[in-house]
Amino acid sequence: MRFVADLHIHSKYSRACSPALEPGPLYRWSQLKGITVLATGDFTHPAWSALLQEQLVPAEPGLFQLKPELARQQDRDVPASCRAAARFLLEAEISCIYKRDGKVRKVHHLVFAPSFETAARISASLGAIGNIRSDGRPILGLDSRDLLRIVREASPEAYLVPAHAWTPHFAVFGSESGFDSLEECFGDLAGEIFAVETGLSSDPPMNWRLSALDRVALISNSDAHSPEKLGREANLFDCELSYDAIFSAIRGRDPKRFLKTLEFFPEEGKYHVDGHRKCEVRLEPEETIRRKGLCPSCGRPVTIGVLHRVEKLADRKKGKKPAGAADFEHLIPLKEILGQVLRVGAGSVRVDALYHRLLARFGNEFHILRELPAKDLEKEGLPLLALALERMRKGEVELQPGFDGEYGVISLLAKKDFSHQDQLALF
Amino acid sequence: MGKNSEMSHASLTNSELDSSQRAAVLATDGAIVIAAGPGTGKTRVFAHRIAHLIQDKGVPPGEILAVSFTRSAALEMRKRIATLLPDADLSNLWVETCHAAALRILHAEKYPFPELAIAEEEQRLELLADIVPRGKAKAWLEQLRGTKQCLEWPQDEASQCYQEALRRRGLADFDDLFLFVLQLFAERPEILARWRDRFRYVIMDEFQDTSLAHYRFIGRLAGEDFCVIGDPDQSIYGFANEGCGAERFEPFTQFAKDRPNRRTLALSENYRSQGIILDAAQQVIARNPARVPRQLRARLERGMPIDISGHQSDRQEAEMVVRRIEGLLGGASRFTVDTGWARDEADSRSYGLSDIAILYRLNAQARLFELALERIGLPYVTYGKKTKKDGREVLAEEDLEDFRDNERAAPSLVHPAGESITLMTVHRAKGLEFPVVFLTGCEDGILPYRREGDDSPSPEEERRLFYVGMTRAGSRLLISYARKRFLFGKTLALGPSPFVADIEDELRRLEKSEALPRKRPKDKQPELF
Repeated sequence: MRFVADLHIHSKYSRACSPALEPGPLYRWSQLKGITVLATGDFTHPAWSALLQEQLVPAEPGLFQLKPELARQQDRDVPASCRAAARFLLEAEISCIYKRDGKVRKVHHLVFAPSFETAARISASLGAIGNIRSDGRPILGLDSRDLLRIVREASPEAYLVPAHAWTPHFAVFGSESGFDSLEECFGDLAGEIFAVETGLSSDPPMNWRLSALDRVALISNSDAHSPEKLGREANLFDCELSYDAIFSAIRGRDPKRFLKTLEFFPEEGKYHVDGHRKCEVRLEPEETIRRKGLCPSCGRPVTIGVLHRVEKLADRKKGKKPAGAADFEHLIPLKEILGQVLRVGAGSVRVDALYHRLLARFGNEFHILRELPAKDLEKEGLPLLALALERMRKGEVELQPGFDGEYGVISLLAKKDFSHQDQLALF
Repeated sequence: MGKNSEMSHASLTNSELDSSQRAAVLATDGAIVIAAGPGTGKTRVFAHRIAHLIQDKGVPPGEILAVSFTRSAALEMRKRIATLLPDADLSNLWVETCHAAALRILHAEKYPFPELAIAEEEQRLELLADIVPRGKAKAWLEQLRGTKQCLEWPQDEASQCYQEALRRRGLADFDDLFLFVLQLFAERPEILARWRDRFRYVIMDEFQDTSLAHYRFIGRLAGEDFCVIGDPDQSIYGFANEGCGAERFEPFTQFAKDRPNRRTLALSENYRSQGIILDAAQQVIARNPARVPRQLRARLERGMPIDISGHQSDRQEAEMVVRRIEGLLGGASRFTVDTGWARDEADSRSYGLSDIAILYRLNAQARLFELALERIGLPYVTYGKKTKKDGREVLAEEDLEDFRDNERAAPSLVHPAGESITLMTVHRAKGLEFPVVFLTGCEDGILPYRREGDDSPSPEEERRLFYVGMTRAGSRLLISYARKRFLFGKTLALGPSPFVADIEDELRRLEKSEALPRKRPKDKQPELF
């Protein structure tokens, strides 16, 4: 079957995360978004693990579902158009901070487990090394290679995937505290790495420029810190619904089973190009190089973004797609599009009302973004939204790339699009 | 020994050592004092000296006794020597702590009985069950230890029952080792002569903290060629020698008395701390009366000024320290990086977890730092026990605890897998170094520590302790104090430590634009009042 999986999120036990990140709301939001398999996040956290075990029951092999009575409560708030099966998969993110070769390394990794028993084994090993009780995303002074060893020793079905591989501060290829290759990071165990998460600021074509990554699958996930952000990036599979089938599709890099990733426009990511947020300076990589990496405003080194970093490590020109690579699709969260259509903030009440109206009328968010014929929206009296969606699907967008922690801005509509339409009449 | 390694050692001596280090390595004969300030390459000199003896002077390794302060230091030293002499057979070389050396000799001589073993804490308490009332056992043992430290066998009946009980089981107290070995040497001069003959070269590290018992033992064993290495300014265990005889034992003074022909060599180039830190530390230690003036030169750059910050409370101090740590780590989470909350604007370097130490005077101060670190989820390891007694009892006992732990195993041995921030007392940090040191709780009454009554630790020794704390730091030294502190059931409102005021303004960066008293209180002008 075809389904969407988001394999990296957080719970309410992670720092700076929404208290709404609990199994019930996650189940409800999975349906609103159109996600069939959602990662649990934070399985190393004792309280979260206990809550998951209390509220989830086994479903397909390696997957879990909300207890029926809890699901029924949540379903009351899910429009019939969105109702669908939703499953959980055990996942955690570990922040490794350690020194290697005299440099400080800060690398985040995703860890996946097929069962609570395996998850408990991993947690026990990590708990013996550091503090996993304080933060859902624990910080450990552990070398990435040692983490990988712990994970692989816990179970042959437990896996590690480097998280948001290109973000400057916390990633395997990060400009500030990462490495230049998987081999450099994981040493003799590098062969155990079969996938990397591309992160919001990079997309598959950027990663394809490194021939060293040809052998790994590129996955995309939301890293959501609140339920609304679920699925802002995700993966589309066509396989059996099980833990093993998902990972076998990823590991096998089989384009018939791991179909594509659903992506941000990488320019929207917070670290796409270089710059200094404080000085409001945004630099394209060539500009940074010309300025010797220094900020024209304050003279201190700028934060090197993902594009620049990819450029540095790339050994190939743009445009080549390696054999076996999954396809991809650029999307923009529906609320952001609605914000542009209504010319108000994406977090506004009006956007929220229209968002839920559309979901009730047409189905989940991914369906609307990816599949809903534009004509249907025109018929609904939303020609501007139809236009915006079409432009997004064709990639006809205007981009102001993100930098140094500042999200980029993707514009779908221009002033002239509004002039001959009378959207206000619709409301 | 191959010619290649000879050459490599010769080149090591030339290129890896500065001139004062080289002089200290080459001065092998006679009684030598090597006065080695913090970060001056003492360990390197120690190792090269032994390598030089073996390699260049052809001394058989078995004729050398090297004495380290802790077991981990001994292990580290052995490793270093082996690296310098990859082809040498070092199996007969003794690199030991004082206790281990004594035990090895006693084992070799089967004295006072074969297979002598050291009694564990539980065994001792068990043996005492019939001798001393239960609740008093620990205090009683503490007193017994004091007596033995002064190299006297206890004479009272209870002690004799206890010693007899130990003997019947083939056990000895940790502190009995020196009594036994000195007793052996006294009873059997031919045995002493044999050991003295064997160890033609004796080298002793951390000499400033040598206890009376250590010194008597090693001093007896050492012949002509006896080298001691240490720094009088870092002597922080003087209290361990209190109460032995009329005169307080001071190792360097005693050595001078016993070996009037001694030669003194000084290591004075500091390779550890940036210039500003070293200057500040010297400004502080220079105030100790009766100190022989010594000047250290920094080999590193000036570096960044010393951060000095005052806080409303001990709780706030802990929170601020942890926030600074986040900044020094270059942000520990996406949250702190994205918000720019934790950026250290002045320092573009980023440090690792194991680069950072939080030091304090009393173990009781650790708790708030632990809580603050827990909240953020940063990994840390706290060394040393926490005691729940009132302050009066706690201090001497704690410092001694650190002393004994140092004798047995040192911190680096018990590191768990994975890096972490270090929390420890200044006492325990002796001999260690960290790129970043937070010297906390710098209040007048905490560091220097003062008790009510007149049994406070010596202010000179407290100053040396502060100096030891400062000189642990390589790149960054951050000093903090709190205006209110809750300690041992009381809220204290103490001013900043007078030691802090001894650091001149040019070397410090005050945070939160808070002025510290520049002059010491006694310099205040009376007409102001």
